[in-house]
Amino acid sequence: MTRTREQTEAITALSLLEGDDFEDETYLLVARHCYDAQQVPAVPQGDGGIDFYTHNVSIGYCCYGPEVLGRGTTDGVKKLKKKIIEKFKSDLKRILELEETKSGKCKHRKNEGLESVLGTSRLKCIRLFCNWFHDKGLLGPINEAFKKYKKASQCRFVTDDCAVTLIGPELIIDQYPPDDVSIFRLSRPGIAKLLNTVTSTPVGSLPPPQANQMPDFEAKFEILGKNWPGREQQVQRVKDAQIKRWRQCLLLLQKLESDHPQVHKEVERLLEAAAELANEMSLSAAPDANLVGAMVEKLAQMIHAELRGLLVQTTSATELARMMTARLIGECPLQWPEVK
Amino acid sequence: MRDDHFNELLELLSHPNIRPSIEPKRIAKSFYYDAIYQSAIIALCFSVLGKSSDLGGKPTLCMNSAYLNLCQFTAIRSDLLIDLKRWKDLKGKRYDQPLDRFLVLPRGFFTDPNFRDVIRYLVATHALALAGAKDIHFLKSEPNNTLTNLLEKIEVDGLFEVERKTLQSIKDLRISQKELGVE
Repeated sequence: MTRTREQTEAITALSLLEGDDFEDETYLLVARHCYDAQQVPAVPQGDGGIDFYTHNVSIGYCCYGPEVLGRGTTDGVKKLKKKIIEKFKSDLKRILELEETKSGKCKHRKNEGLESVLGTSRLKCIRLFCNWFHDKGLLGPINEAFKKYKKASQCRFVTDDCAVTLIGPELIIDQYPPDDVSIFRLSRPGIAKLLNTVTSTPVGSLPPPQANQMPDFEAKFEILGKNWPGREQQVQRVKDAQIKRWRQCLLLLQKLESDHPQVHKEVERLLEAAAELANEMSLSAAPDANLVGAMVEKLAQMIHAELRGLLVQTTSATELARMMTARLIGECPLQWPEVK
Repeated sequence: MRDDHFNELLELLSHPNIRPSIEPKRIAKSFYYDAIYQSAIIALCFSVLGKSSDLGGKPTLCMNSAYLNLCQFTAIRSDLLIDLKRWKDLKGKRYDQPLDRFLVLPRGFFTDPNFRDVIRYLVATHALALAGAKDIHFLKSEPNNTLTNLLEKIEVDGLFEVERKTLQSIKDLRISQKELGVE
């Protein structure tokens, strides 16, 4: 089958989405083609086993977007296969109201959550969407498990002839072709998640700043310590926090550069624009004006306005602005010489 | 967002003896988007991996465009060499995957338009020439060729050692056009 470049890129982009991002994107793709598509919110207490349904509550969809890293190796693929099989088996058990004992026996386990979603409707087909399907060996264990579960189940939520299908990103894109909006969205995935990854990375795993930049950085905090006698501990605490943020910024920029070069370019442009603005402000402002605070605020506003859709929350934009500012302090464009 | 450390910094900076200032010109720009750096890496790619060929009777070095893209992307990010080796090791095995399905490669490889833009610029300045949809020729004998000049500079000053080593390692991997999926 010949695909257009846009289709191929959409497949790649979809296969790189993980977790809720993958579920949301597949739901939006399906919803474009099925007027009655209904997403099931995972609150309260989970989604009951299906992520969304269509066709007058007769087709249920379960999505799974496991992590991308490590897939390139044989070991990674084996683990990934196991994870996918286990995840979908667990979804099927919930839909069929079962729990498996250690000996492999299936016992009835009422699923009230799903009852509150489906009511008296019964699914004729369960479609399992996964961001990776490069091994036909996924099918056998899932089909076998489904057969076994159906036999043991009271089948309150599925018809007796209910079928299960496993669908990877290629078929998702082929069956639910993306429109221009979807292609645009897929090509610019959210970076809020990336920001979370960076902020949760342990300090020891963050890239270190260049050694030749450290003396200037140290000197800035020495000035602070000298001017605030008795508050040395506080200065040290602030300094440590700034180094951490600076290193987080370096990691974020590395990730943006290799994964989202367009966003990286945009962020660099915004930083420069905010610095220019802060410079202008400093020329006209009173000596006691809060230049750094004003710059961070302006940068956060610009990030939020320009990267809307990528950084939905204002807090993410503020966090990003503070990281960029820490980098400016570290790499010297932002200084605070002592005024006599 | 509650952040005591940042607010503490603002408070410390409010001392009358401290006057923060910013010099926007000192912001270090990323070299990844520097067209000259990218051109230099492309020149190195041809020098290390290009095959002798000719175009209209003129001697050239030729590379497949997809291969050139992969080489320059990896040369700039030498950490990716390990992943590329892994991908190559899987060739012919059960989990053999085409490059665009080998998801360890950063998605920037698929989405960054920089490479295409730089190639367009080099073609416009007659440093490179396109032949068909797939091949790119380095017109090494053209007078005042930007890439030839860059290569001379690189040689004389011994620049980009890491990138050169990475390209040599890619060469040793012997990736075929079939493996790249561009036959």
